Formats: sequence, C-alpha cells, structure tokens
Amino acid sequence: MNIANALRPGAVLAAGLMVAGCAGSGNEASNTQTVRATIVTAPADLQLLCASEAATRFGVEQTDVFATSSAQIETARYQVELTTGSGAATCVIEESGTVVSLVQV
Amino acid sequence: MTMLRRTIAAVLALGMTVTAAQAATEIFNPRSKTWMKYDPKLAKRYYQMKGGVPEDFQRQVVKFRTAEKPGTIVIDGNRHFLYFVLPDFKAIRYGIGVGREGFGWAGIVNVGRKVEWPTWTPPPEMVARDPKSAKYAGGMPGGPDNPLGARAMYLFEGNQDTIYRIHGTTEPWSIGLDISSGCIRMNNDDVIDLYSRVKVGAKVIVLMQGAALYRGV
Repeated sequence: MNIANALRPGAVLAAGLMVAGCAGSGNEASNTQTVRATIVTAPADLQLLCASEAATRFGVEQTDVFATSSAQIETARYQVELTTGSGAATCVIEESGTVVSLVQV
Repeated sequence: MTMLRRTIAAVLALGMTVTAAQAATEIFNPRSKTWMKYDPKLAKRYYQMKGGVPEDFQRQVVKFRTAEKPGTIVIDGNRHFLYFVLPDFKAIRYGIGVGREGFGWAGIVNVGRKVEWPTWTPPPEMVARDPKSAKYAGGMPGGPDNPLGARAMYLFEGNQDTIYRIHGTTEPWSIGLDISSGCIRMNNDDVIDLYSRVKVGAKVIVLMQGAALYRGV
C-alpha cells in the first residue's frame, strides 16, 4: 500500500479491519456485528410473524397480508405496518417474537 | 387483482409514508470506532484486501422464526440478506446486492424457472438508458463475463415473468450494496448453493421498505 492509498479513508478502514480480523478470535468475529443498515427495520422473521398473526386474527388469506414498513420503537421492540387485503394494520412485536399489539387502522 | 397490485393500491389509497431514501449499508471501523458508509469504492477495496465480503454477508445458518414453509425464500432488501427457510425455525442467510435508488421493489412472487449459466438479455428500458448494454440487446451468452453469473432464478408473479431475477454476479464485491437494476444479486458460490436447494414454484417474499413498489410489466 502506498502513502497516497494509505491516507484514503477507505484504505485506513480496510487496514483497520484487517488488523481487527487478525487480532480477534473466530468466535469474537462471528459474534460482532460488522455491518448495519442506515434505516433500522424489524428483522424479516418478525415482519413475517406480524403478517401471519394478522392473517389469523383478521381472517384473511396469508397471501393478502404484507409488511410494507417497519421501525424500531424501543429496545428490542418494533412496529410493523401491514396491508391486509383491503385494509391496513399496525403490529408491535418484541425481539422475542411476542406480538404485543395488533390493530386495524 | 394480484397481491402485488393489491399492495400497491392499498399503500397508495392509505397514503402511507414510504421513506424516500433507501437503507444503505454501513460498516464498522474498529480503529476509529465509527460506522462508515459502505459504498462501491470501499466495498471493492475491502474485497481486494480481505478476499471476501464482510462476515455478516457470508453464508450462514441463522435462527428464523416463521410459519413460512421450508423452501421459501425471504428477501430483506434493507439489510441485504436473503433467507432460505429451513425446518425447525432456521434459515440459511446469504448476503445480497439489491436495486439502487428507484430500482427496488417489494411483493410476493415465485420462482418461475431456473437456468444454469443464463443468457443475459437486457430489457429494452435498460438498453435505452445504458448504451453499454445496447450491444447485448440480442442476448449475451452465459459465461464468466455474463453479469447474471453462474445461475439465475427467474421471478414470476403467477405465470408472468416480472423481469426480476435472483442471479450471480461478476462483481462479488457488490454484495451489501444498492447497485442493481432491481435484480437480487449473489456471489456465484452462494447462488449455486441456493439454486441447488430451490424448487421451481417456491414462494419468494421480498421486503424492502423505502423502495419503489413493484411497477408490474
């Protein structure tokens, strides 16, 4: 790596990550989140759990319920917006998979 | 009316706010203890130096609590993950690249057909906006230089081709980025692995907040 490259933020980051990768154990690396999304959405399985619960409670076809957006509202708790065929619903779900609330809007 | 069109209609009718900006990926710099934008330039450099994509985007079995049947594909476009549902509340998680701003979409589709070393035929809209693709308007044979990579799974809505695919890539560094024209791209090793597991007709759920909704064909 030449000096010009070394001064680039990307090169510094990549070099830093390489150092970190060498220094850490395999277990540490696998348990550490190295990337994230700029918008915090609910994990996909939680979005699907909300959709499944809505289909059951509101008596609509599973294929008619779809998660359109979601956001983290508290630590380990997410709000998921759903379409339910002709309507919509809001689901609040915990990281554990427990549906806290589900209301049609 | 199909699920995709119902979804679009419902969202429009309810006036839901769809976030204008798509989620982008950030990567943690342990040296500065800060999160940095993971853009194509940094992704290429990372790939060159590490010989692969960040660990979170590498293939792994994860917990996945769902009532969806094993064999279902769930795509989380915001987090750049594709899940292949396994029994016992597990899934194989793969890193993916997704559509760039304005090219993302969401909905429920299915795998209409599967092809090894597919021919790439850019759609007319792509030919119109990208002169580089024009010379392949008649189709580019499958091979190592083909942008669809080693395998392609063609996504259908009912019996109609959506024009979107899950496919390999000649740019393995691009996993984790919003970079495609709406297709879901995977590293060739991963797409070969997924291809070997997926059956034609498999349900594919695409979740992608902030993306434009499926426009249909």
